[in-house]
Amino acid sequence: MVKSPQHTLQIMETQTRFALNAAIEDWRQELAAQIDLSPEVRRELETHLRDTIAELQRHGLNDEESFWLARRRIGQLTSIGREFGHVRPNPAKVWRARVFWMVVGVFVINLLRFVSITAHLVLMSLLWCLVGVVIWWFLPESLRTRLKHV
Amino acid sequence: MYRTAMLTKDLVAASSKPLLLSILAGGESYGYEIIQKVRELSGGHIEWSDGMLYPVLHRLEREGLIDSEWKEADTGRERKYYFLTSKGGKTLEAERQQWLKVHNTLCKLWKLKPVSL
Repeated sequence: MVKSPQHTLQIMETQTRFALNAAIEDWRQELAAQIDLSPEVRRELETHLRDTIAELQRHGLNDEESFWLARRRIGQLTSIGREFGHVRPNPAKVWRARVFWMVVGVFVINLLRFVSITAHLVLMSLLWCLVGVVIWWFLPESLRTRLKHV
Repeated sequence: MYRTAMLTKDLVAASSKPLLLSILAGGESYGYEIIQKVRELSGGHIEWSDGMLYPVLHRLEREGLIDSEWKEADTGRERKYYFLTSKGGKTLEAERQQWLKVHNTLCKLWKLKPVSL
């Protein structure tokens, strides 16, 4: 079977286009592997890559050249990930905050316990006073007079 | 080899904050556009690896100096636009004063004309 030159050209074009999409897909896989990059940052970086490719294509570069240059301009994904690792709060700080809130929690619980015990004691003494007054009230007159002289 | 035309890594890192805040003071923008602007304004002397812009932007956002919003651009592609907050405006003014102080001190030493603060 003899292929026309036009047919071959078409195949080449399709292959080039396919290669660009595949290359972007590979790059996205690499991007997804960076645990320090949030989905939002990954989305931003992908938009950036696509913007750069589009711009370079406008300047006359072909798909492959545009992709490689855009990729190079963005730089090493691992170093971007590492940089984001630094942006995140460091573990020491997180632990300091956790310990602080634990101490506050224990303090508050103890304070509440103290308040409740005090309240309990005050209420109980008041109650017993009341009981005393009531008993005094209901005592017969003769017994009351005798108790007053004790 | 040490290239005098390019800024050192330390200087690039130190100047990124006033640079980004100043660009955003001129209106909201997104990552790709910001990079283009830096490249254009510096005449190519400040060369960032594009990806390194994002950790800086996110740090400034965390500090409350800038804010962001996803919006659809003319191309139909969604982009994250960054803009200056009022806190960012104040920080930019403080940064400006500091950089000009350094600049003027060097100008005096090198017998160049200082700028008014």
